[in-house]
Amino acid sequence: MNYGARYRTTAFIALSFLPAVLGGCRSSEKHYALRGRVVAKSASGELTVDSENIPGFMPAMIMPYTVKDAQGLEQVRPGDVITANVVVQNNDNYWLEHLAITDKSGRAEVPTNALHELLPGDKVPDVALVNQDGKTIHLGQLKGRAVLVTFIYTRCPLPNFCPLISSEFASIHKEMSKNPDDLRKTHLVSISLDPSYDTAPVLRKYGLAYLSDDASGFEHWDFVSTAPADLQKLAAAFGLEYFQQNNQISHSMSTVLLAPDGTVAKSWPGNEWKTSEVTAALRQATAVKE
Amino acid sequence: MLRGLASLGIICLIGCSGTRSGGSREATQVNLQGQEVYQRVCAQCHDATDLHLLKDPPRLDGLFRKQTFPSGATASDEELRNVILHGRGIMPPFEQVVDGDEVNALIQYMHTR
Repeated sequence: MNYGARYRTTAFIALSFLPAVLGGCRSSEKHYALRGRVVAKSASGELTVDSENIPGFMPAMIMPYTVKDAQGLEQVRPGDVITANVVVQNNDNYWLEHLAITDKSGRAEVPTNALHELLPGDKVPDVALVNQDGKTIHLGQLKGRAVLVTFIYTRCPLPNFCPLISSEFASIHKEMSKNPDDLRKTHLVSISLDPSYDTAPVLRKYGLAYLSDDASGFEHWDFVSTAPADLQKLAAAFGLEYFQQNNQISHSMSTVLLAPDGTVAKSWPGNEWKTSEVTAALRQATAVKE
Repeated sequence: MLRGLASLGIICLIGCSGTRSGGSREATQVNLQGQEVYQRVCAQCHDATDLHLLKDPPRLDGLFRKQTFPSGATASDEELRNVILHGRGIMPPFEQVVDGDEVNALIQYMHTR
């Protein structure tokens, strides 16, 4: 069954699962053999790997790893199939060593976005975005507001990836909605990584689910798709990597706050940011530029 | 830092199926397939306990022992098939994740769960 190999639970489940798997293991280090495909490589040097079953350690999963192999890390690219040793120390600390690339042919499937660490003041492409109502908008027209941008796709089946990010955005939207001033000075944008599937009606249905069926929420939160070529430009600018794999989309995560002047104010990779932190940054950004 | 603590649900199934009296070998195999699909596709949300989602996915034990599904819709195979394939609320569609045989097996399994 093909799907068994491609459908993976998330990194974050894996992290939680780790102590249970290793329960009772008190030796300082354990080593396991990993084989998998590199989904993403962060600017900070973390690899997200879609790994096969690791006997004695964990089932097949997508999860992030720090890498203690500078040379291997330098050479590896998203899409590569690798082998490595997983070293687990004291049940709660783990990393990859002895990285080896066994297949580079997957690289061609991956957009060659140069890894880009977002810095305050960076500009982002002002490409055409089509929202849930079929209306074309641009990030540029949102200048004057603090804009929180993230990337999702509506079919995403992994609860700690897109559904979590959209749930967090729903919380932020709800918090902003408590104060008309916050609502007026901020805006949320969720950009689809799956433009061929995420048409305007699909995005509208998805958005309504996270807006508790209150369509007025779209005035503050747009769900948009864009042309594939423009999506690549955005991904490069926002430090995001993604590629289609077995009918799903493997991607890293990037949530970015644009200041009212349209430049990057702050960014949060991954999904471990707190809504309270992001909400505070949104309010701070609007307080600076009135 | 851990956000997705969840019951993976991969260790709780051994011996749960295939013992009903009168069930043919074929039916048992379908039930096992449905159980496998459930664990692979459904359990990570519906059996999880700490997902931090906008709404907690409902537990699905005894789904067909009530007249209605958690959504309030009348319990039926077709309604379940529709939800699996097309999603509902924040549940994404799985039409490109499971094939027709897997959906049939999953529905059959949900009758026994």
